[in-house]
Amino acid sequence: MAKAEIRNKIRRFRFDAGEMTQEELAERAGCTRQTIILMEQGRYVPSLALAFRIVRVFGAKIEDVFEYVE
Amino acid sequence: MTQARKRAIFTFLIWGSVMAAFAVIFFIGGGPERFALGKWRRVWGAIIIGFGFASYYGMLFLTRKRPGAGGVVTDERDADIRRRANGTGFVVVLLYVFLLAIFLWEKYQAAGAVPVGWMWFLAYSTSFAAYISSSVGALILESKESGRGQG
Repeated sequence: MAKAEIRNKIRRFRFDAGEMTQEELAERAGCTRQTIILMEQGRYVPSLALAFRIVRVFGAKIEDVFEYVE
Repeated sequence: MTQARKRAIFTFLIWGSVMAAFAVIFFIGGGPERFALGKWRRVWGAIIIGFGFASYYGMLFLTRKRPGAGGVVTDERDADIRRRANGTGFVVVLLYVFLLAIFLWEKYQAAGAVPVGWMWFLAYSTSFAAYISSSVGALILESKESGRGQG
């Protein structure tokens, strides 16, 4: 089975949300700024709970922000 | 720098220094065969280790999240790193105790008895190995900066 990858558009949504800072997103999503940085770099895949908290900050749907690629 | 990374660095520095100091006390001036005979070497060993614990818990207190401070100090990624580092540290300690036991058996098989000083060393060094291995594991996992959240 091909290796699956989860990509995200957090950086784009963050800029579209009035150029929200990573710090602000981290505080509102309940994680550290370091975790936001790593997610935007594609080097960390969040848990489902954190993913939902992030998309809630943007007022978007989870499939709009995160993408499952096989 | 995250709190987790800061604590891992300080844990490594504190317990690495304590281990080095204890090694000097233990191996210099008679070695393990005479460690249990020398009261002052045992006292100094206890003082060094007590200093280590005091420094460690003092560090935890000083690096705590201050009341009223904003932001998240530790999150799921930090918890995941800590969990994996502790698991690695557990295995390292098991291996260390096993290897040391084999070493002592080989060294003292003919004599039929192991000097009690080695039991002191085993007891103290196991603590050092636990703290140092888990902190090194955390630093390595932090440096890899990758992972997947749980759940």
